[in-house]
Amino acid sequence: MIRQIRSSGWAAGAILMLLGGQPAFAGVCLWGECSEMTNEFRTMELRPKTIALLPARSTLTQDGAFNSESKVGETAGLEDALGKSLHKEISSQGYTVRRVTFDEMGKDPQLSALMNAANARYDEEYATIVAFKVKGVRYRRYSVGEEGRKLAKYLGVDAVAFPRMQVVGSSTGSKWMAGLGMSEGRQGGINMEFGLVHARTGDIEALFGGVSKSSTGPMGGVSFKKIIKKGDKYMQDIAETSVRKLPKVDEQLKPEKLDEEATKLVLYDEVDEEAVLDDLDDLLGGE
Amino acid sequence: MRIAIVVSIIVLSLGSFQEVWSEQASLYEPLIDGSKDPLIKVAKEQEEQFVRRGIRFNDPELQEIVTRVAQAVVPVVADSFINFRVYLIRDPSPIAFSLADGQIYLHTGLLARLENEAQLAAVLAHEAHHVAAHHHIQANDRRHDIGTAAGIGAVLLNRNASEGTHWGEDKYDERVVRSVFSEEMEFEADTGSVALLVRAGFQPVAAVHALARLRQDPELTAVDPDTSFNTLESMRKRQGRLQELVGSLPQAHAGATAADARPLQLRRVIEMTIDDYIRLDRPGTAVEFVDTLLAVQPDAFLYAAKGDSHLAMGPRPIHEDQMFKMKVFYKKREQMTRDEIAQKYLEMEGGPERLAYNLDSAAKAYELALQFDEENARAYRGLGNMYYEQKDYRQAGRNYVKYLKLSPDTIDRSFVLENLQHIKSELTKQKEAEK
Repeated sequence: MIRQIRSSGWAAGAILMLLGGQPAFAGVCLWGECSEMTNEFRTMELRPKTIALLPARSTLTQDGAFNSESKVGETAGLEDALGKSLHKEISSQGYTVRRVTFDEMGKDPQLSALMNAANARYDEEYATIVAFKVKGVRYRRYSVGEEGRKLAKYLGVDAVAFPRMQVVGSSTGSKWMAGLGMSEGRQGGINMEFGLVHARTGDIEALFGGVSKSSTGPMGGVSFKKIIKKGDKYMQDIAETSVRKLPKVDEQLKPEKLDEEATKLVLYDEVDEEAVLDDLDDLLGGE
Repeated sequence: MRIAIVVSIIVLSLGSFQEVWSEQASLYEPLIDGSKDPLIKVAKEQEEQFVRRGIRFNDPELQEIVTRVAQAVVPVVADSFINFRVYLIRDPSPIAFSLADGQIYLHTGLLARLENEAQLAAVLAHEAHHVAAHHHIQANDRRHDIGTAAGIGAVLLNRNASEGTHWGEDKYDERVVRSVFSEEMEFEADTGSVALLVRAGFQPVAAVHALARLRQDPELTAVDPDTSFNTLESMRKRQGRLQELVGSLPQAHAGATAADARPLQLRRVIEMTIDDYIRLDRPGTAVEFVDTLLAVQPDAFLYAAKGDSHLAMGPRPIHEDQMFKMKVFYKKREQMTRDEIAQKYLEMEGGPERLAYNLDSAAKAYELALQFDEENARAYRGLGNMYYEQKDYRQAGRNYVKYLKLSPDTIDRSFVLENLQHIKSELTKQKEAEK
């Protein structure tokens, strides 16, 4: 059964769940690094050369002795550090990365509107991916559609990367409670994934992710304060882990033998506008 | 304190309402107890995050309207940590919410549903009352107590009280979307809003009308996030109680209708909201919303938007919640993409008939749009999309070409051209087959 689950990260996550563990993360990658790609992405037919890296969207949770508490003020610093690290790591694979910042978004209302629309649509699909349907990526199951294509076109890139991050850190109180056996240990750490939406299809062509500094069991969990204090280091770690399975820009991978018939993808060459309209005029008989 | 305010308001409503309410500030007592600091910190952080993530919708014209109405209606308060300000968020769900430090947020979908400034004032007054009466702080204290008790209980049972984090709810912080006020707090805010409306010279019946307008939510877009204007059930109760209160007011205030208030002619917001409903996969709500507008003033845009809404519905019913009763489908629904959901509906009983009905309704709506304005580009695009889906490439090509001629700078030009490329290849094949 495990062999069918491609990524070791997802396999470990599944084992954890089967053993009765209660993963704190709702993300798809529960352990180590993981990846999913369409065959067109693997064979470079739809491998982007230029990628727009959107600002990460993150949720931060501090696991207290009795309650967990979401944190808002601390997100800005971590998201910025993650953006810088991802930029560096994705670029190192040979891609040209255009990092979109919140500042840029604030100054450009059209960009802001396109990004909000694309993010909303991506999250709709991502919610389904999170429901343990990550394998659907290779079957081209998820599409951000027109919203994704419009954004990519506006930014002038081949693909758009949508990073999503969850951080769960423990408080001292929660560690002690777990250590004294008064509560179950909880999986904590940093989980990050980014999907790549291609400008030509609007589909999620690939998804890469990773979990960093994860731990479970009594006295487990990473200190929330430590994550915030050493944010740059933690973000660099998670970016490196997540990008590990992103192939180099010119690295040809073997196509997957898919269990069922993959969606037939019809890709057209760049449209010669004048020719199409002239030809259509003839075909429609000047109607 | 809360009960005292409600009693004062009701007593005042029986007397010389407006005169006494000119000194209304004294009714809002400053906060003496309650742990405000954590909540004020969160409110400030949330404000920064909204700005940073571009969640606020910046539109000077709209901002001017809501700020002007807010200035007329919000109360003066003694708490130094409260500073009222109103912002907009582009979202079609009919929602307003506030934060403990006086930030009031209005979704564009809420603005689109309101008829006049008095109704807008009613919503703003309702939220302002929550802030002035420190409802956020009270609710937070209560939730904290309950949460801690639950945590201790879980520890005693050796269970983990913490929940996993979830995606799709990160637009607002958990403490914003889950700051569930009690039913009494909501009614108190409704009552308070009536008093604030009278003080500002608006007709109090506008509060009843506003609730009635915001209840029109067939696909339950307002249920999540669970904010102030939340479930339809509580809205129904609130409307009834508010109606009773307004009915008990002196005739001068209770008898007037909202028709004399300055109308909110936010056409742009209405158009944006219809498009957002379609984009966010709420075409049933779009159809119902468009129908209410068409009943008042039909025009080409509304008919074209109606066509787009029906087209987006495909085999889906307008009231999707009927299908929710089918437990198996409901459970699986969250794991399905839009296309898969549409396919599932098509396979269900009545699916092909619903698809045929919606396609027919779309075609009729587009034709009506073109009767109003024969150069309506949106209608041609819709017809193009419709025929393309039906594989009637000749008709699709004809309408797409017309669309591009009428709207040469459209952002979806490249997508339409791709479809035209496909149409060209199909028509070429047909022509060769005919030879």
